[in-house]
Amino acid sequence: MAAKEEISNVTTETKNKELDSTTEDPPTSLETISEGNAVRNGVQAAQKDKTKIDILLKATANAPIMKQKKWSVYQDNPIGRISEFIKKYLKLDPNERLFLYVNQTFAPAPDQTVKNLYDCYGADGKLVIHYCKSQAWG
Amino acid sequence: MANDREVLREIWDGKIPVCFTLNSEEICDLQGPDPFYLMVPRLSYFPLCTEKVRKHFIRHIQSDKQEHEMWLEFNGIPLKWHYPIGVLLDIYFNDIQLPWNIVVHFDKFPENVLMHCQNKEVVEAHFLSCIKEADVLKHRGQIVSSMQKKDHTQLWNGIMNDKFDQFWSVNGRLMETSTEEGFKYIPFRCYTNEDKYIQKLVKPMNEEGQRKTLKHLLNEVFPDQENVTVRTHGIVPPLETPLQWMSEHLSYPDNFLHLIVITS
Amino acid sequence: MTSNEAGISLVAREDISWRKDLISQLRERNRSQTNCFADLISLHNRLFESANTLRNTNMQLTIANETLRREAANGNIGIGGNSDLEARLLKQAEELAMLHKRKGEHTQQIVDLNNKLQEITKELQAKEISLAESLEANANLRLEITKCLGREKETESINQMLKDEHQALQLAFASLEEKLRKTQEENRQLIERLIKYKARDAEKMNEENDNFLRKRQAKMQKELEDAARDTRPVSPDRLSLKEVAGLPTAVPTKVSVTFVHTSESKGILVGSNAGVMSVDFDSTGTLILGASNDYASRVWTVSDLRLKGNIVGSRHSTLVALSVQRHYFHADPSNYLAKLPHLHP
Repeated sequence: MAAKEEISNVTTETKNKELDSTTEDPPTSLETISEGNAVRNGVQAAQKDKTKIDILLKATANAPIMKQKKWSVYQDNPIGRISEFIKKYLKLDPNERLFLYVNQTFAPAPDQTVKNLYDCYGADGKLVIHYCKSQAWG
Repeated sequence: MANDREVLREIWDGKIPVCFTLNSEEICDLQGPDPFYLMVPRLSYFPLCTEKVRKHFIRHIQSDKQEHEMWLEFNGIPLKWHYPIGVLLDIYFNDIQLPWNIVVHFDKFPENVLMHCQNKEVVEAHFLSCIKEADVLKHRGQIVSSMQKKDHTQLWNGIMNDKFDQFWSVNGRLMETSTEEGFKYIPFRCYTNEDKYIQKLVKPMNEEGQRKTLKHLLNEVFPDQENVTVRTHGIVPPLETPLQWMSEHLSYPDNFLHLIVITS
Repeated sequence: MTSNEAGISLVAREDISWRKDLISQLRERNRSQTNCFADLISLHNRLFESANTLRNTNMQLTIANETLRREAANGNIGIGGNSDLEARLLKQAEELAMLHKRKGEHTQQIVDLNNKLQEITKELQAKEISLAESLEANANLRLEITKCLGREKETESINQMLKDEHQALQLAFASLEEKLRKTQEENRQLIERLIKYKARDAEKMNEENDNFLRKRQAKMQKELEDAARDTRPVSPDRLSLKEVAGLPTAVPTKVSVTFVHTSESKGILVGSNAGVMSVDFDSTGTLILGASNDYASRVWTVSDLRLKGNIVGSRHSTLVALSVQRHYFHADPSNYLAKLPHLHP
């Protein structure tokens, strides 16, 4: 298990360098740290969590537009946390639902990591995520 | 083109025995309920199979808890309902002895770990989302977007009601390839542990036009490791299995290959 | 790995050891995991369900048993099973008595109902009889009605016939009237003509008489002139006109009643001694008053021509007799118009 984490660290670090070269304006950092990983192995968790991925949040349908669209998030964050963050940012009711879509096609499971999504669906150094308050693409 | 029906059939027929017991702390009458045995399909999801389990146990808990959502736990670990049952089996393979002993809970839902599943429509939405994501990887999403709502419903009904032909009559279209090269990318998830899986872009052909095998995929996903083996559907596929064939035949109904890395 | 086209041909041609391996692994898996347990679990579930149903039935029976026991226990406490039976017996006896009573009541009801039924049947019969009578009367009345109608028709026809005859007679009458009228008209015309002729005759006679008288007058004139030539004294008192000149003067002395129309002589009224100077009917037409020169007026009845009475007393010979209403007057040359005493006819 430990070996695997190191490997992913290496890969993420290389990714990180790519990110820095392509970003335009400095994105805002998310302060949240994934709790689950931190519990397991303190040192390595800290190393892993440092990698960040740029995401661009786009409003769809009747969703309110965020003032700050570009964010940089830790790559191991599950996408569910991003969803919670957006809800808090837009001051939505906790009972209201927020739907996230990648590629304007599918809604990822809340425990899917940002890293996986970026690896598969990222473009131009960032991952574009659409959000809306009602189901848009089914 | 998923033509090897024999393999498809064997995969589809996979069922495992599960023994459900009620969490002992939640038993409310003198004589606790008997354990409930059930054969569950590997390719299905727990919320689709556990209606009878719920009905069996619900009489034995406190009446005010009876409206709560039921959740399952194995070895102290809450089971993620949105993973196909076969995936969970493979993840906990080392610890499971058949029949699989699962504890049923109604109280203290683990909010941070599990998602809520209020009804079957939630499962359906998740399932269809996975199918769409897989199609994005395979065909840029063109095939799934050309399907009508009734096709989606037929896929879901096939899974829900255990109807092989109903399911594959639509799924066959998702397994088609327009070119010789196969899918654009192979949809897969590699599970390194129960919480984490890796998903990457892997083509079924290399630059020379040769078909890749499982070994190539594992090399790409784990470039630093040698001799990585994976389990899926409770078996260990040979490393020379072609990726395209594997994606067509060994994918779960959500069109993803779920490969669990075998830890020694 | 050689590059190839379709999957199935690839599988067929290539070394398919991996496939065989896969298939065998899957089969093994299914055998060990699925097939062993499937039957067992389904059997287990069936047993489970049947156990559940049996448990439920068992529970129901226990409950029923309990209730029965409790009911039994509510009887005599302490005596035991017998009391239970006795209690039941008592209950049965009570029920029996009640049923007997009810049976009696029912029999009574039956009798009452039978009586009522008979009464009602009797009433029904009476009503039927009266109904039959009414129907008969009805039929009779209908017959009478038809008869009356028949008679009425006859009467009408007779009436009609009479009306027709009447009309015919009317017509005949009208024509006869017409004829009568015509005849009367003719008659009248004829009488008129007759009168005309008679009048002409009378005129002729008058003319003749006048001529005669003129001739006589002329003669008398001549004589007078002759006489005047030889003068002689004459006394007017003694001489009546008939003596004068020795002319035969005609002064009527009798009244003859003549029915003018037919010129028939009805009769002669005798009684007047001298010449009758005037006659008149009374207002009723039953009496005639005649004034004569013998200083009296006489009254006769027309019907039997008899003298009724005479009124003397006029100083001179009456000349005019008038009857005005019921009063009679006569007048004499002394120019006294004397009212005669009333004569009752």
